[in-house]
Amino acid sequence: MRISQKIGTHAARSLLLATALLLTVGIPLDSAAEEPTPLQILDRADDKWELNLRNATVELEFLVYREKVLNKTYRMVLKYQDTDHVLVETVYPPRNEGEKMLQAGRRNYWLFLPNINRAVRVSESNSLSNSDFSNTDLLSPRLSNEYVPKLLGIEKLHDDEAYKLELTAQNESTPYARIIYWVRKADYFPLRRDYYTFSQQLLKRLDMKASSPDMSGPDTFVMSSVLEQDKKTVVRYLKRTPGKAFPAETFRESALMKR
Amino acid sequence: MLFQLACKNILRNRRRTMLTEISIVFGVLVIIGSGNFINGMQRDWAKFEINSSTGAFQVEHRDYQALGKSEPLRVTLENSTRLVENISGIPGVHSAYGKLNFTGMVSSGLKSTFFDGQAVDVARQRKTLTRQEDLIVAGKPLGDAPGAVVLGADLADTLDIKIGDPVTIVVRTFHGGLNLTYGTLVGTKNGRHFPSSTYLEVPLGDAQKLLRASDRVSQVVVGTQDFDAIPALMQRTDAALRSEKTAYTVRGYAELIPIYAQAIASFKVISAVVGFVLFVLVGGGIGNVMAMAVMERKREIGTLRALGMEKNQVRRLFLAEGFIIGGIGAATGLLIASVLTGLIATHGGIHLPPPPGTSQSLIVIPQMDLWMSSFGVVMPLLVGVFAAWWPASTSANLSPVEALTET
Repeated sequence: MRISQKIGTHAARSLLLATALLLTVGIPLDSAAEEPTPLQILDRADDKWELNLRNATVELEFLVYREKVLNKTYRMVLKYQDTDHVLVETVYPPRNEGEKMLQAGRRNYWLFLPNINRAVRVSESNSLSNSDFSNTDLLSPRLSNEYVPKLLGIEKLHDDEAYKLELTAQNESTPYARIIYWVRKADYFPLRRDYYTFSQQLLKRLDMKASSPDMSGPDTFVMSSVLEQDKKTVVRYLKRTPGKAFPAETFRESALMKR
Repeated sequence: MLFQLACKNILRNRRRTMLTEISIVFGVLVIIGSGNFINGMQRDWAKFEINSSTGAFQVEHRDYQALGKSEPLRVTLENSTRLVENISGIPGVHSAYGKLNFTGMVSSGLKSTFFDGQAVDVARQRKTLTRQEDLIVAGKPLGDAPGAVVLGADLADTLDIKIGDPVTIVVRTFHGGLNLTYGTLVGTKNGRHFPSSTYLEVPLGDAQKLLRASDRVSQVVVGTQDFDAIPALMQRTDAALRSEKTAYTVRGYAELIPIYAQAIASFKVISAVVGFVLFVLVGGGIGNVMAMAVMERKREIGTLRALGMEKNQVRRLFLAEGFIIGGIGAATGLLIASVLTGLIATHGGIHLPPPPGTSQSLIVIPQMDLWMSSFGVVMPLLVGVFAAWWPASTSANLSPVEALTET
């Protein structure tokens, strides 16, 4: 009895010890495997933003506010081959109808003005349709191509727990020297970006949200500028049509001009 | 003999000769005077622009004219400090400074718009462009302190800001990234060399830091104190820069001052028209005098012909009279024009209203113009001879018998 009690006590101790070891060693190992690296967080957030835009058409609305008043409304159709080849056609207002912006590869942007039937090369940091967005803000969503991420911590943003990333430009030709990026921890949904210049001054802030819970990525983008008070531009995706294949010529600068 | 006779004939009707001479002198005076005025105005206008905006000439990248508007930072000059020092050391160069042209957005906090910027080496600019401050319409020029901003008067109006207000400047850097800085409006200016609605000026050091374009400038502006030696100095500078790795081009003030070449060409056309009108008037006057002389002196011509004077000699006599009348008028006109030009010049010149876009009046100091002076002297001589030709031929062809019997 004493022997069996001893054996039982020993077994119980061994079990407790094993459990304790598992608790102390096993749990951190599991959690380390689950905690993504900053680059993984950025990549997953980029994927969310992209909304699988390859071979897709997106209709969107640009609402430009000045001094809290809606100043201009634009409607555009974006034809995506992939995120480096995009054709933006303005369909509203009639005054701007026919204007096109082409991204014909990384950092290769063209603006076509129908009135003069001429395409001019523009910079990725140029303003898109005189809004607070630059060309690169909307058309080149994959920040992981241009920036080196670093995790600054996890903090609350709009009641969501979010990763706070600091993205540093890989070189000086990148439009922004630094971006502070908040990504929702639960599903890597992009929440906010603060864009900084090379002099480390905040230039503008982008807030993103989904119009419905069904959306896996953001479809509403609000860009506020620090240059002017009460100045912002809201971009809303109105319709997304996947599975649209476009001829390669659609994304060539030579195809912009009227013939 | 013939010349003396011609002189006597001219003095025979002094009143008519005097009236003719007055018209010739007036014509010569107008031609030489307008030439001197235009020459003076051209020089003083050029000097004003040289000392306030353009410098005597500028050195820039060979491709600046082609790419400067669209991509000004791509065609900048590197090692600008050394380049400015080298140019400053060329004999005849009084001083030189670098300026950097760039574009971007400027904001007041409530409004923002595009600008065409110019960054200047303030201390050296002050030495090179001695009248640069004349273009300031409010506040003061850029000082030595960083963060100062001067705007075109219209741009300040667009942004609705006043002296002392803060501005935010956003640019694309030399490498393509975005950069931002804050500044304070210290002055507004106007001028014809920049659009007032988009002009922004900051110190060179601030702009080079903002644009991350260290030791780069778009142009080197060169000043000299010898206006007439500018073409030779440009040649010397061009020769001195030929050994440099970068392909430079040297552009003179005449090319840099907007509408200068067209305005000077217009002035020359006006001078030519005035000259032609006077040519006709003076020619008509001399022709009239000669024709009257032939009419009045038919008996005398008949006597000369009867005494054996050849047709050719009679013709030469009248031509000599035309030449002498023209010569006296030309010499007198030249003398009066020279004296008046000198008097006006020594009394401070002629004050003209400020050119468009500036608040400073333009003072024109007339300057003898060699071409117009030569034209003013030669014209009445030629016209005198030409206008006397027909009366001279008529008189030479008179038959002695007809001339002596005519009542």
